[in-house]
Amino acid sequence: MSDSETAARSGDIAEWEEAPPQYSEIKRIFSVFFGRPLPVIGLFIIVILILAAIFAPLIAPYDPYKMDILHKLQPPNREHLLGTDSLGRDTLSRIIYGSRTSLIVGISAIGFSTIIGLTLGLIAAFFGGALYQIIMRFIDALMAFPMLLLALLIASLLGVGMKNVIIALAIGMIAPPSRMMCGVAMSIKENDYILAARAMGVSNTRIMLEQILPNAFPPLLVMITIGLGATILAEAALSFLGIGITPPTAAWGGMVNDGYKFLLTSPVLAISPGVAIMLVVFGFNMMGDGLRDALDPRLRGVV
Amino acid sequence: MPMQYVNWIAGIFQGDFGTSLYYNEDVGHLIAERMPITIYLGFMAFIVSGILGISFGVICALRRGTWIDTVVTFLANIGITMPAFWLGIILIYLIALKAGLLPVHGYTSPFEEFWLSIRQAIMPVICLSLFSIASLTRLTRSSMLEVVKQDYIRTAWAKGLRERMIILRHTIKNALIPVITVMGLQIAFIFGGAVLIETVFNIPGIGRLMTSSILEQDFQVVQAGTLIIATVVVLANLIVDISYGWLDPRIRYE
Repeated sequence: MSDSETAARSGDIAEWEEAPPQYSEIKRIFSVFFGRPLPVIGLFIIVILILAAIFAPLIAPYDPYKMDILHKLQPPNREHLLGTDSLGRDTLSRIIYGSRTSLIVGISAIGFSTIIGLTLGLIAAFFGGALYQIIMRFIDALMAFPMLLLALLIASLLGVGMKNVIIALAIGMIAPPSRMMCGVAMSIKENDYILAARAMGVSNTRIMLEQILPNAFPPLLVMITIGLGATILAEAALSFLGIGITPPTAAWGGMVNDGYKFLLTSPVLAISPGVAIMLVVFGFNMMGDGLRDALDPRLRGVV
Repeated sequence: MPMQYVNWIAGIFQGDFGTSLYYNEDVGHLIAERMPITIYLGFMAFIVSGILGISFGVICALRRGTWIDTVVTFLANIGITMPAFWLGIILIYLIALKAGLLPVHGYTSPFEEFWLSIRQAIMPVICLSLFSIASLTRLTRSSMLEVVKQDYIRTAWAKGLRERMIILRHTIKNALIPVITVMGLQIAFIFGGAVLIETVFNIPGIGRLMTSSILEQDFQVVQAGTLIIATVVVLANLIVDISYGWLDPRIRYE
């Protein structure tokens, strides 16, 4: 910006008016995102995760559920690259299949919490008054509980299993998107173009969806990316405590718990699924940071 | 149902949390026994994360672009991704089992055996505070870099103030405002983490009481424990909110 200013000041105004600077927002976003190594590494990890989840049966060297008691608790070797667990199942195959569990839980939980959160935030900000008070006090109450504890409670009421973990995590993650949406909508709704739309007789629903919602898109994208990492981490924690995805389904958190019992004899059992969790969460976080810097650096510290 | 709830609430105001189905003990007693342990470890983790997180962030911002900044920022990025329970297991394996430097797990009251208590607390506190240290480092760093660009910092330089003064009085104090907000949120994180860490390290705090009660379907305990944790989190956040007034004179409480 300073360059164009000096150019304009230093003289040739006519030329400047003739050819306004060609400026592509999308090109800028791409160049900022791909300009630094960490976001690209993050994206790379996520692409690998998605590929591993989709093509798990093709990549995994063994059936992750096939028990082989004769070859249990083997250290890493040529046949089993990461060894076998207490039931003789191949650890590497279980990690590869675990990526499916993590992705399914992460995407569904974030999907539900985003939709519910956005709706609540929009309604609260748009209608204001008592509705605002009720919704935002409800969100405040949700925030008084540590997210993990809230998910733990809901999961304990609903019982174990993938569906219930998704519901529990979705409820635990409602607060951030609704507060963000509420903040964005409150600042946008005072604009003249909203007044104009209303004067033209556009319905409330259409104003909310077409005029206000798109303004939340950049912070939302960042929030979803970083939220995916957080959800996968929380799912792992629930499964580690035995309140999430239950065996035999391959879930990274459950595998760490399983390996913890054999820490002294085969540490790789507990360590390797943890590395997988870390890599994936790192990937989502770095991608989220990169997106934030590319879309709107002012969001630093907000999302 | 609603009547049961009213009775429960009425009981709490009289100090009666009901009786645990599993332990067959007064729930209030069970919680009163375990809460100090969680608060003891949680408070240490909170202090450690505040001191380390803010100092790392400040150092990174002041030495921006040097190798210290690169290394610490990278470590902070790793820190926010590491599952706390997994870090606990790694620490147990490396430090306690392999090197034999610290006791594997358990808890002793600092009033009984002070040094054993401290030695046992080191690994849980590291695990509890790691996420907070890392996120506070990241936040302090970016907040400092933001403040350095402000006009009032340039004014301070122009007035000829000493560098020490500018950094301490003007930059850090202003940069800490968003950091304090996040520190308030970290309290909830630390309590959430306590559920996991107390399970890993076999510490008889409220977190492990909650997990075992959930698994045993002992809902009297779960209900009361949730209420207590939420209360502590809200109170802690209130204290943080009040401390704003000191950092930012623009905020006044009537």
